[in-house]
Amino acid sequence: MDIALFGNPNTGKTSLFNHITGSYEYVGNWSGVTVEKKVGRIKQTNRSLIDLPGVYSLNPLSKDERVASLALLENEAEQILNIVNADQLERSLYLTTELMETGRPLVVVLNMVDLAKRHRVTINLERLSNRLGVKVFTTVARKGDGCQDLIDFLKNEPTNHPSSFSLNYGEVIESAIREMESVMAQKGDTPRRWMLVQYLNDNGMICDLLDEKFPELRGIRQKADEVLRETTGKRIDDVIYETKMAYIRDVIADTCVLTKEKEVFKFTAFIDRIVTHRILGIPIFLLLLFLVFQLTFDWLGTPMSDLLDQWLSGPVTDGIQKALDAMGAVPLIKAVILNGIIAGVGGVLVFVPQIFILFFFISLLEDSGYMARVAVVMDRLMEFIGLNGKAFIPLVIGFGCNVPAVMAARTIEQPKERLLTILITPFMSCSARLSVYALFVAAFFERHQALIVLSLYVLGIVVAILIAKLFSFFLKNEKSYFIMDLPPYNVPQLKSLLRSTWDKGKGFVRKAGTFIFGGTVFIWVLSYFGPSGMDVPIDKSFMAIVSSVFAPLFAPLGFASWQAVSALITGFLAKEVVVSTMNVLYFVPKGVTLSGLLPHYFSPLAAYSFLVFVLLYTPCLSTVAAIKKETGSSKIALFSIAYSFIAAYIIAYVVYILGRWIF
Amino acid sequence: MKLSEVKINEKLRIEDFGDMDSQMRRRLKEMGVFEGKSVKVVRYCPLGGPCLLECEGQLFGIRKKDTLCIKGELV
Ligand SMILES: Nc1nc2c(ncn2[C@@H]2O[C@H](COP(=O)(O)OP(=O)(O)O)[C@@H](O)[C@H]2O)c(=O)[nH]1
Repeated sequence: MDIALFGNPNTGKTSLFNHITGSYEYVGNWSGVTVEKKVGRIKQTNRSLIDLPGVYSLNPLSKDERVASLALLENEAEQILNIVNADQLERSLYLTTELMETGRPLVVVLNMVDLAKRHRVTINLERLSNRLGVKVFTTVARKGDGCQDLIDFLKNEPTNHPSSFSLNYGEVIESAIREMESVMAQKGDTPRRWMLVQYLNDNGMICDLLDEKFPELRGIRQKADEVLRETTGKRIDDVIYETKMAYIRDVIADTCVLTKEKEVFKFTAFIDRIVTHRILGIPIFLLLLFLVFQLTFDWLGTPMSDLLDQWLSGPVTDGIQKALDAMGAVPLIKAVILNGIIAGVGGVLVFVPQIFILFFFISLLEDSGYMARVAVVMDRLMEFIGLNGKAFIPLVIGFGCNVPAVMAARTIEQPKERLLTILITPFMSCSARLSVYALFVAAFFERHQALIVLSLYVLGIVVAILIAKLFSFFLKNEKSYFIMDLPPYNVPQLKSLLRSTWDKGKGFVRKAGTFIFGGTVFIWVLSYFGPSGMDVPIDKSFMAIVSSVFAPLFAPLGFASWQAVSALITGFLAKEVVVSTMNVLYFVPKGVTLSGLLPHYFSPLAAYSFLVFVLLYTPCLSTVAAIKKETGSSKIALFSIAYSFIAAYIIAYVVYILGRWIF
Repeated sequence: MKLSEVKINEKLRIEDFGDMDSQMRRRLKEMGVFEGKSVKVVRYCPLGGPCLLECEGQLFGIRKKDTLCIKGELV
């Protein structure tokens, strides 16, 4: 029997899941939605535990949240493990009452009992268990306390008896429910009370489902709503809510003792005074960000990447070369493996350390509770461009690498805001593009290097803002709202940090092995073969021929050489490949550097226009793949390729024309 | 009195959500913030940014425009 894990966000669901299951048994997507579905095997048993997104109720607002309700509707969740925040019992139990109404076997896990204790809350477990009519366990999921008891229970008692739980919502609602039940029964359906309660509670998802099959229900609801308004002046959903809350308060009064009024923990209040400070809040955030980037790209990441690079291009390449020689491989195979695969895939793999380090710090900021504060501090700015504070985080991550940035957009509730965020994220100038800038500013703008690079970063941001503003006119027909739960700060556990780092980063490694691998071989083949056979001079290769066809297209932007176009084409693989392609294609003679050579091919203005184009054009292959995965739509992935290409073209053109006019 | 008029560290007992967006109101209720509860203003972010609130030891942030809807009495 499968068990599904339900609970509010930030109640320790992930921690509990990690403690009571071994490795993932299955990670995939929920059918129809692109939310990740994680299933784990409960330790010492052969039962599966399904992880569900955190929800406050069964009435979903976001795509993520729909999954939890879907799991109930589609009977994926045959049994329920409901994690409850012992420190926020009242609001946590709201979901519990909704879950108990479904009548499925249910076990309550009271988590965060350590925090409850610090708040001087004493809970009588036995009485709580009796009142709710379900088994209750206590845990501190952060440390793993109590998890073994839970595992033992799940191991030894496979069949829980369904709880019989039902609240009386008063005569008007109850008779509406009866009426609806008989309508459904007449049509040969077995009505489920919990669904009807949700229906009356205006649960959009359930309304859509039932209205389609039973159009009569709408009228019954309306009638009940009118009667209630006349007699009590209350809305139907308010009555349902108040009934549940009255029950919950009664249970709490019966089982809990609160010896003093609850306050925010001193430590949390203290940190918040600093990091959400009116004036210092944003500078502190920028400083932290700067530190994270320094660590990722300068202090830790780059040395590690360099080591990996040396190792790949040294011992690994040599070893494989020797092995190939020993096997007597034909030159074609050797060239594919050494110049194509190792150079190409290796070129991407060297970024693995940086990616993982960046993810580690992002997990750290998330887990500690700080990211939630950043979203609040930045909300005002983001609202201005049609987004909300939660969208800020992915954009920041985008300066490191667009792939994790696109993935980080998951936390945004409103689907359209999420889509918008995903679409503009690639304009954030990632670290790969920096290598192209570095090459060109050294060649053309020796005196103003930093200024030129900064201008490109700023241009990326400005374009992102403009595009967001533009798209929000087309996309925005959903209401924007913003409400951010700020959990107490806590020191993250190393183990869970490593696990979430790995969860986030492993996709990158996998992609290097599949997608990028294929793309690299393809592009390499194009430059190795020509109409006259294989191993042709590069300017006679298919690559040169194909690029020459497209080159005139770029004449208005100032750079129409086939080499530049080839570099752009290969840059689609990964933007840093632009540099290596140019190194190959311009036949750099000994004693001359590429940056010494480039001024023969570009005017300074054309070079800047080229940089603008590199900044803005088509996101790299990995980013496009991430966009496709996250949005679940090839169309959107293709759209992002097309529109950013067009945007890049127009803006580079304007820059070039303006430049010519000025100079 | 509107929540937006409440000073920092003062508490308002909520009486009415006015014409707040229904989804927003629902989410607040699900988070345990409803009529009869007291909320304390912890901080206003600059430039008309969100407002940090506390309700029974729980911190959350909502937009300024929503604080205009919430009405109640100082406690
Ligand atoms: N003090 C305390 N913190 C906990 C407990 N369980 C989880 N946490 C912390 O609460 C935060 C949120 O936990 P997480 O498992 O990510 O929650 P989720 O959002 O529900 O998946 C993390 O920083 C955990 O370390 C607990 O029992 N006690």
